[in-house]
Amino acid sequence: MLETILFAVVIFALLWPFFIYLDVMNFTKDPSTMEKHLPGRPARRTIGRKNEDVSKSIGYIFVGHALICGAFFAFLNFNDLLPDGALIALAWAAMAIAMFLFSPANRMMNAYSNLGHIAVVHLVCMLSTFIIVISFVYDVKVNIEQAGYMFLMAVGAMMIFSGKPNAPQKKKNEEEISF
Amino acid sequence: MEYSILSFQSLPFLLPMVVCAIILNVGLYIHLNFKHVPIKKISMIVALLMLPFAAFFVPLLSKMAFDFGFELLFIYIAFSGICFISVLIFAVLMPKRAPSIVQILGVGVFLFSFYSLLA
Repeated sequence: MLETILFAVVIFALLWPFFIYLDVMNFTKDPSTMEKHLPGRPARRTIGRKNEDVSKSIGYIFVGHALICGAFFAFLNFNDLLPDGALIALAWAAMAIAMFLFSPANRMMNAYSNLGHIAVVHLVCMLSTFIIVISFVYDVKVNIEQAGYMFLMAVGAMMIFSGKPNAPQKKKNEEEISF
Repeated sequence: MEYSILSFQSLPFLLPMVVCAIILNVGLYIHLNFKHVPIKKISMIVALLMLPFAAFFVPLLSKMAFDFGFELLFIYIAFSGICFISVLIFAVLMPKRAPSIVQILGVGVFLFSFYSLLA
């Protein structure tokens, strides 16, 4: 079980170099320096605030996925005990709470990254929480082959959205173009 | 009897999953661009919209897991992979610049590992 959890931690920790490469997180600069100005977005926040916001967003997304995953397994365990209506209510409650975590997290992260980067965080959190839950609740071990493919999935996802965050530029009006 | 998630029998379950993944991603895209709406209001709307999703997914999952015997690992991975692929399709449909070699390689690595994991 320990190896499975360690593997989940490794997959989750991949987000660290990914965001440092994208310059979304930066721990080398002084936290009180202003963030880099992105086209179309004013640079209002400091590096420290940026790191804090991104870490908070990742935390919210992780907890949300842990909730959904827990509800998924609870639903499978109590399938015979509870009526369908109660199961639907249980699933809805978990999803609603998760959405209350995801919505601010997505928006906070969108200030520094793009839709694709948010999708990568969701995928990585989904994989790591799922591995932790199955190893804790069901004592299921992820074999080496499956672990390798999951790792490759996470790496492939990061490679796809490895472009640095770039906001859409404001459209120039006709006057500016002719000038 | 246990079926593979990539078999023909799983198609009636995979297609609704694809539709749900696309709806979720459209929702994500919309809520990221509706910055003038307060986040609390958006969270409440999204939480309410989860009710039809829950009502749809609970019977679907119980049928997949108990009647058809699909493995839990594969159901979960399939849905997460499908959600990511729908974001990828979004990114391809709204190109801002030509993809780099690393990105194309990433698509190959992701699709290969996703298929190999489920196969």
